[in-house]
Amino acid sequence: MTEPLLRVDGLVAYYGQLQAVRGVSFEVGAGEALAVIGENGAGKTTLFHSICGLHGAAGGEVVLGGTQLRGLPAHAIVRHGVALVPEGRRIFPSLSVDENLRVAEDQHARGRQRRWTRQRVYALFPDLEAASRRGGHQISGGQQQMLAIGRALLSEPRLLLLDEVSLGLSPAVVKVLYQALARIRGDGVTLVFVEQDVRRSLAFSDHLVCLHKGAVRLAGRSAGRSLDEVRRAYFG
Amino acid sequence: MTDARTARRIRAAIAAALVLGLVSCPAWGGDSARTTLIVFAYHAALAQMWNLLAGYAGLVTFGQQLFIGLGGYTLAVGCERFGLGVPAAFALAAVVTGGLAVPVGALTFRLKGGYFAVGSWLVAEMFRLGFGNWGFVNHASGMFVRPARSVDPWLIYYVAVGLLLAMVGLVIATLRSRAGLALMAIRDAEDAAAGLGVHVWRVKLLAFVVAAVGTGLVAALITVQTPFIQPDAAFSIEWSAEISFMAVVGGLGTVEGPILGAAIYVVLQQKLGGSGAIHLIVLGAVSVIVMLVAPGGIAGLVRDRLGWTLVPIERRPPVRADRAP
Amino acid sequence: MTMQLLEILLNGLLLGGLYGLIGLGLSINFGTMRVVYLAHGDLIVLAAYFLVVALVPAGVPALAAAAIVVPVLFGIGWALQRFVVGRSLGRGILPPLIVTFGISMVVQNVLLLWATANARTLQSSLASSGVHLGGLTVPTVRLVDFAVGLACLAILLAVLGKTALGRALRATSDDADTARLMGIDPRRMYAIAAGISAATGAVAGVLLAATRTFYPTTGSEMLLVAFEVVVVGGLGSFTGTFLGGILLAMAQLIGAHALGPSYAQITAHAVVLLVLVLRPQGLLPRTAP
Repeated sequence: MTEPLLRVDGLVAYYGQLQAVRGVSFEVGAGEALAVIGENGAGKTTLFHSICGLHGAAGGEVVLGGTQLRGLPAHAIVRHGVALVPEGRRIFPSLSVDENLRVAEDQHARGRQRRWTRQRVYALFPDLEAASRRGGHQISGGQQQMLAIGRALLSEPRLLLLDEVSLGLSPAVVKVLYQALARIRGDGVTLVFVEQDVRRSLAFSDHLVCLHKGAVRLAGRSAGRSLDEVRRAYFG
Repeated sequence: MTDARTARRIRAAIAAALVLGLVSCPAWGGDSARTTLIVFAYHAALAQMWNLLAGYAGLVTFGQQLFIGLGGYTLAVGCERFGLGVPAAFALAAVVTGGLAVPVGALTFRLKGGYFAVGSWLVAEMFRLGFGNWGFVNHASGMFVRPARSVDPWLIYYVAVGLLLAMVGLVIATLRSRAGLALMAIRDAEDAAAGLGVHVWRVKLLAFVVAAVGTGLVAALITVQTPFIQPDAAFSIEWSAEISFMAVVGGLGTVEGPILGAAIYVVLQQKLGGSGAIHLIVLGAVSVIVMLVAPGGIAGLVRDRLGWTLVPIERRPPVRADRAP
Repeated sequence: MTMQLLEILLNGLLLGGLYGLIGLGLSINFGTMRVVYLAHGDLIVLAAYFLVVALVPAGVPALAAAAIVVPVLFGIGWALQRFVVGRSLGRGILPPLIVTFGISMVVQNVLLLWATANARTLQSSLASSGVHLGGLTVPTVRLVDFAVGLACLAILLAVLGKTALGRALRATSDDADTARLMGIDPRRMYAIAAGISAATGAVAGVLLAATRTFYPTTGSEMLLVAFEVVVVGGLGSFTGTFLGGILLAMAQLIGAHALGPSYAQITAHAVVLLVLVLRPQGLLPRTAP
C-alpha cells in the first residue's frame, strides 16, 4: 500500500475541559473521499479544527504527504494544502463575493502555477458569478456555501475538509453542491466531509469514519454498508 | 496545598495582625510612620474601589480622577465658601460624588469596553478645564482649606484606616452577596448575564456609584490632610496611572491585590521621591511588564504557586480528587 | 459678523483635516484588532518631538525630516504591536488597555525627561503666512493640514479598498480565525495595522508641530481628540471619522471665539457629550466605509 495523503494517528483534543477527540486514527488516500459521520457533539468539528490548526491538539499526529502538521499554525497548514470549508460558511461580511475569493487567491498567488482561478470557480458555480459584486452577507445560504467552497479551492488544496456540506440548504442547492464536489474530486482533490444525510454520505464516499463521543466507533469502506449499521454506530 | 482549616487560621491571623498593627500605630509609630500609613491607607482604598469596577464589574476606567477632584473640591468649597465644618463637608463629599456618578455613569455606559475607559477620562478632563475656568473656586490657582489645618493628624490617620477597612469589608460583603455574583457574571459574559435576568445596567451603575462615593470620601480626606486643592492636580490623569498600577501589580479581581499593590506603591514612592517623570515611567513600565508576564499580579502568582488566596471570594465547586485533570 | 463666522467655520473645516487624521489612527487600530490604543496620542507627539528636537536642529530640512519621521514611526508602531501590545491580546479588554496606557505614560515622561516641559513648535514660513480666499484669510498651514489629512484618508481608503493588503486587513478585522484559514497570519496583520496607524500619527505629528505649540503632555490631549473624533464620527467608519474631525475643530474654534481661548477644548468636549446623549452611534451609520 502506498503512503496515504492524510494520516491521522491517535489524535487527542480538548474543548475546554472536555476531551472532545479521544485518540482518533484514520487514513485517506490521494483522490479519495472520506465521510465523517456522527451526531452533534461527537467531535467532528473539533477534529477538523485540529487537523487544520485552528484548534491546538493535545496529542497524536496529523501527517499530510509525509509532513507533520500538528503544532503548525493554521495559516501555515493551509500552505501545505489543507483547506477547510467551515461550519456556518464564515463568509467575510464586509468583503464582496469577488473579494472573498480574491482574499484567498492573494495569499497563494506567488510563484506557483495556479490550478484554481476565480474564473474556474465562477465556471463551477455560475450562480456566484452573477452575485460577484454583492456583499458577502447579502447572498443566499446556498450561494454562501458555494463561495466558501470556491474560496477554499483558491488556496490550492490537496485536501479539502468540509464541515456540514448541506446543513440548512434546499435539495436543489444540495444537488448542485454535490455535482460540483464530484468535479472537484475528479480534479484530484481529496475530500473529507461531514454530511448529516447518512445515505448521501455513503453514496458519495469511498470510506467512512463514524465518531461517537470523540472516538472512532466504526470505520471502513462505504460501499455495501447498510444504513442500519451506520445508525447503530451513530447513536452508540 | 494547605488544608482548609489551616488556611482559615492563617488568613485570620494575617488579617488580625494587620488590623491590630494599623489600629495600634499611635503606640509604636511616630509622625513619619503615621504619614506613610495614611498615604498607604488612602491609596489602598482608591485601588480597592478601582478594583471593584475593573476587576469585578468589567468597567475598566481611566476616569476616577473625576471623583477625586469632586470629593476634594466638595470639601474645600463646603469649608471655604459655605462655612461648613470639616465633618459636614466630608459627609457632603459622599453625597456629591455619589449623586454625580449617576448621570456620569448613565452617559458613559453608552460607550463599551475601551471607549468607556476613555469616555470617563474625557468627563474628568472636562471638569478639570471647567474648574480651571471657574472663579468661584479660584480658577486654576486652587484653594486652601483653612479649617482643615486644625484637624488632629491622628484623627486623619484613624479616618483613613477606618475608610480602608470599611471599603475592604464592603467589597468582601458585596462580592459574597447576590450582587457580587451578578457583577462577576457581567464581567465574564455580559450578554449571558442579561439573558439570565441580571439587570446589567443597574448593577453596573450601583458599582459605579459605590466606587465614586468611596473614591470621593478618600479624596475629601486627602484634601483635609494637604489642605490645598488645585484642578490640574486633583483631576489629573496621573491618579489613574497610580490607581491602575496598584490594582494590576497587586492582582486584579482579588481583595488583597490592591492592598499589596498600595504597599508596593508606597515603597516605590519613597525610593523614587514621590512624583515626577521617573516615577511615572516606572509605574507605566511595571504595569506593562506585569500585564504581559504575570497578568494575575502578585496575588495571582501566590494563588498559582501555593493554591491559596488571602480572601477567598470565588465560590468554586470543591475539586474532587477522583476527577482526571 | 457673517464674514467672521464664515472665517471661523472655514478655519474649523481646515483644522478638521488634521483632527480627522488624528482620529483615523485610532480608528485603524480599533477597526482591525478591537483595541482602543491609548498611546496613540503620545506616538503623534513623539513624532513631533523627533522632528523638532532631533532632526531639524541637526540641519535636516523640514520636508526631508518629515519623510524620515513617517517610516520611523511605522517601525515603532509595528514593533510595539509585535513585541508588546500583541502579547496582551485575547484575554479580554483589560490587558491591552493597561498595556497601551502604560506605554503612554512611559512615552510621555521619557519625552519630558529628554526634551523638558518647554513649549515647542516647528518654525516655518507656513505658520506665519496667510492665504486670501474671496475676502477671507486663512493661515497657509491650515490649508496644508486639510490637504494632507484628506490625502491620507484617500490613500488609506484606496489601500483598504483596492489592494491585497487591504482585503487581508478587512478579512482579519471581520473574522481572524477564518482569515487564518486563508493563509493570513492575524498577528502580522495587526502589526502592519499598528504600523500604518503610527505612520498616520507621524503625519499628524508633523502637521501638529507646524500648526501649534506642543508639550510632552499634549499626547493625552491628542488621544482625547482622537477619541472624540471617532465617537462623533461613528465607530468604525473612516469617512465618518474624518467628518467628526471637522465638527470637533469647528466646535473648538466657535467655543474659543464666543467664550474665550480657554473654552476651546471644553466646548468641543461638551459637543461630544451631547452627541453621546442624542446619537450614541455617531453621526454616520456604521455601514459606510
